[in-house]
Amino acid sequence: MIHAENICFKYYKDYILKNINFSVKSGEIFGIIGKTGSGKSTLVNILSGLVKPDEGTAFIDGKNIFNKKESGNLLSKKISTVFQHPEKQLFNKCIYDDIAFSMRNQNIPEDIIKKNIAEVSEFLNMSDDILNSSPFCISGGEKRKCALACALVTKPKILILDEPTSGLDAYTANKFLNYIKKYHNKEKSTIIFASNSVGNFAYLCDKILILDNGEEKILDKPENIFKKCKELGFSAPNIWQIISIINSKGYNIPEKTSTISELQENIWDLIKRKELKNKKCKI
Amino acid sequence: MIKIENIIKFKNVSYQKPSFSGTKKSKYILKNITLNIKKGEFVSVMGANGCGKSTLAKHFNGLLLPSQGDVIICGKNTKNDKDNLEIKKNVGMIFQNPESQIVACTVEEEIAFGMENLCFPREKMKKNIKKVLQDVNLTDYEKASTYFLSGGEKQRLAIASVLAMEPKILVLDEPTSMLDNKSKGQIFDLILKLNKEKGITVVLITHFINEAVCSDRTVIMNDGSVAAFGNTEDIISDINLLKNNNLVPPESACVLDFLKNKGYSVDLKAFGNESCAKQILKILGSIK
Amino acid sequence: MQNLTFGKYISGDSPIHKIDPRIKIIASILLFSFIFSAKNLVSLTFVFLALLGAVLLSSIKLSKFLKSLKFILIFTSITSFINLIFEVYTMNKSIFDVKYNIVANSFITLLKLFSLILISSVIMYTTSPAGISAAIASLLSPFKYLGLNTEEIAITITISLQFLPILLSEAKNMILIQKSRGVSFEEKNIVLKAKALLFISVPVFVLSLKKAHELAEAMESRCYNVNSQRTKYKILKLKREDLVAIIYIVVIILGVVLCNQIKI
Repeated sequence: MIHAENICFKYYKDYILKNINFSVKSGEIFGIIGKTGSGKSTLVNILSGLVKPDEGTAFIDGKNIFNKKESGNLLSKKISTVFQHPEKQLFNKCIYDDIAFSMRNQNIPEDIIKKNIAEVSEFLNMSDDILNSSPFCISGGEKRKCALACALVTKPKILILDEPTSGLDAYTANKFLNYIKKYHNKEKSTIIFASNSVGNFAYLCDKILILDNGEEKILDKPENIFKKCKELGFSAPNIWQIISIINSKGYNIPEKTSTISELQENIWDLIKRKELKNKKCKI
Repeated sequence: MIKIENIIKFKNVSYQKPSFSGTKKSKYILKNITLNIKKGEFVSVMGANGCGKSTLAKHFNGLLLPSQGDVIICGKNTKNDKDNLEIKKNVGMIFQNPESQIVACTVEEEIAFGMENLCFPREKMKKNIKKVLQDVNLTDYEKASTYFLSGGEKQRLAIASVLAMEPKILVLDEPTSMLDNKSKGQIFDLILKLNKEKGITVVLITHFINEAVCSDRTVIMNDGSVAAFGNTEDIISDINLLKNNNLVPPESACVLDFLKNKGYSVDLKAFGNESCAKQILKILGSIK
Repeated sequence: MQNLTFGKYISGDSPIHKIDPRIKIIASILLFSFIFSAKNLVSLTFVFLALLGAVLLSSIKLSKFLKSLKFILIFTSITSFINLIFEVYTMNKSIFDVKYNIVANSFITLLKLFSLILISSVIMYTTSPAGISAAIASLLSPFKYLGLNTEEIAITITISLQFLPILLSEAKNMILIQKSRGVSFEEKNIVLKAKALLFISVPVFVLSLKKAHELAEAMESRCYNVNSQRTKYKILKLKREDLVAIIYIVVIILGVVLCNQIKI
């Protein structure tokens, strides 16, 4: 559904991105991981339709997003992007106005705007108090949620998130990722995560692309990426690290294990199975 | 036996944000905090977003004064105006955003800024600049422009500028939260080195458990109060304590806690990924 | 890394780079006024050639200067052409007379503008922001006896120079962010254009206030106090190159004054 073809981007004479090619099916969750300077943010801007690549282009459902005739203006493409530290973009008198901002720019009638905001605030558990507060008077975690509401209110088919949990503590970060998971389950939209480390979002991805100095290094499933984390210079998720040490001694805990409760269950299963096996051997 | 004195003392400190709207009373951000930190210790402060960690940090050097209670640094009360300069010299503060701490256009002038404020003579400034650049691994950057430094380099520069003032205590408010993984590691190693090799008392405010793990003692904050303050090993291996205070325990600690509850003998304090895996393998291996 | 440009400054090691920034600032002010007072082509050509010498000494690529000069050349040519048409058709003068005056006047204007641009470019390309703020602080220091807090002014200039590129890049980011929320920056309507500008300036303004607050806390934590004494790390001292520069400038000024006496 999203197809990036030979995307190249230059800054003066240096290539920031070179020959980026990948496809994302409708409803898939795609991860882009690259260290600072790997061109990740530029790729996010290109996929959001905001910056035109110097060579190559991106297609959504077969239509070139940089060709106005084929795919209309920016917002009609149904792409929403949550940029890094999205709290910066909130500036209206109250959160309600900030969420309504992109819809008002498309001249959508106020009654539909009201309905959409009611839906999204219920979905994200945002109280009326928050909707009426000024964006400068609420906490950082709430601001981040409001920025997510701004992106989700237009019910985008493609949601792009650049470093969605940067600056959040682990508890708030997990809550934030859960909202995105919930949205994906509900609307089956395509989600693209961009990050500079292999974080918890990696477990949610169907495929991960690793960028290195503007070029594609690897495009593969998360489990295969985790195996190569060390040589790529990233830290694999903790759960995967524990599993790989245990499996290296001949055991077989499923590598898709992504949560603590799953890990606990699988280890308990392993212990029980071994105890049962030993009992059988003795008999 | 030589008694190691408390270099930092918080006595029943409460802080209420000044209210600008007349009658409406603003809430207490810090509630009755009592802390004693020894000279040369490495203390980490953990807590969920909004628990008052940054407000607490600003009390260490007198940037904020308590509404009630006292903060005593190196024997001096932060409320005394005349001790203000001495306290700020002894407590170096590093903030979260590397960009918002830089004043000058070049690295050497940036490091000189603090020393100029303390009226150090030029020869001493030159000497200190060379010394701190070596400490933070930025030796070739003396004449470099501050604009072109990466996030990690900027934060190291901030640490260097503070070190040049010869502080006894270093307070860092989430110094790595805006940096990428490699820089996080570099900054953290630097902080550890300053504590272990130079004996600087370090107070690190962080929400990354893997940083707090290396400290001697940990403070857990929740909604403005100190929920727990003790040895780091005890605190971080206490899953329920962390969960009750909106903190996410390390996955390895959760697994060990689970196995302990099932009756297996595990060392809860050995909770790194490797040690956890080894303990699990030991259990599996012992099944006969 | 040290050779990257910052704003207009291009770092280098030429004799012009080494001149004390105070001399450069005073020289530019003096030269500006003498260029305006130049009365004929001879004095102007003299100034222009002298400045060209400074440009060549600065070892900065000529192409950088040519870019800004190109604009002035086009601008002056257009205004001269309009002037020519105006004089021929409204003042009924003979084309030959008009032509000579127009050409001479246009050339004089061109040379004046070129010289002004050359001076500003040489100063900007060869003086670091740190140098500019140190020079301004030093030049303003006599005013502290009049009650002006020159230290504060110097620090304000340094911090502004430091933060300008950061705020510019935040503004660029904000343009992309608001574009993604449906704000169009290609509007022809002035009201809509102004609104679009507001959607950038308000968030960036808030951001700059936040950074200012954070910076103030960082500075206070490093014992900065507006009213206290401070020692100085970088002290500007006059060197041999500065003496040569002063002599060069005096020669240019004397040259202009002498050439002004020549009657063409």
